[in-house]
Amino acid sequence: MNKQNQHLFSFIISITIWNVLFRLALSYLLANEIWYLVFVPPVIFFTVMFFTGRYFGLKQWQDLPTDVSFKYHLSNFCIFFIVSYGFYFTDLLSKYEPRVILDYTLFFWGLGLLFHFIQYLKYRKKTIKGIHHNQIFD
Amino acid sequence: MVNELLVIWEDTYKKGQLTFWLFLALKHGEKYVEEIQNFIQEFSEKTISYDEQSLYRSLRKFQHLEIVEFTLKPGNSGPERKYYRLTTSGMDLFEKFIERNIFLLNTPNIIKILKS
Repeated sequence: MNKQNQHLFSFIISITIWNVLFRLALSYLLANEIWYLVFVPPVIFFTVMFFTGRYFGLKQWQDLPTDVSFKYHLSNFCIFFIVSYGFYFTDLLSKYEPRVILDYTLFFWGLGLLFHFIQYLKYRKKTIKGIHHNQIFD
Repeated sequence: MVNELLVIWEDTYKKGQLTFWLFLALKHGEKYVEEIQNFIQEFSEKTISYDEQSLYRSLRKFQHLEIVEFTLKPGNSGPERKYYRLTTSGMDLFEKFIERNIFLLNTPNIIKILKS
């Protein structure tokens, strides 16, 4: 496994753990109707996900300046929905987390992902083997 | 002020020459990073030097682009060393660059102006 894939693999492992912890914490609070703390898991989840992406993204960029943001975004998208639907189909979600919320999230995030993919295709035209022309001989 | 401008100009100019010196060192023969550094210092008459990190960063990019490759060889009682060399396309790229950009500075018209 090359270094690029090692970083991506570590990122996937990390975000899988964060997603599982997020789902467990949120469902626990909702199932026990602890409403005043419900905002905590999403805030922590968002913050931890942001810094995890930043950490591995920067590490990867310092190693080789290729744009892998779409790969990371796609991994994030897949893991989030695998974990979320996994929880849904194994009845681990609380009764306050109906499937429709996941479906809507999938739809709107999917649109965001599609937009990112189009941007990625445009960017790719200005690269050679993933490295932007400006970065090759800088 | 002229001296200050000279330092700034040289600094920018030297930074832009990293690829040239790196390729020149590898055209001379395969080398590990420390040898590349020494080569650059020696052949630039100690006017140019690059830190290891910059060299490694460029080498990783060029290796990814398949213009540089390396082989692992045992070091002096330490870990194995990466000996870098130019690939065929790396050599081709360097020769074309030299022909179009470096030899140009050697044309009589330019030499004449520089010496006047």
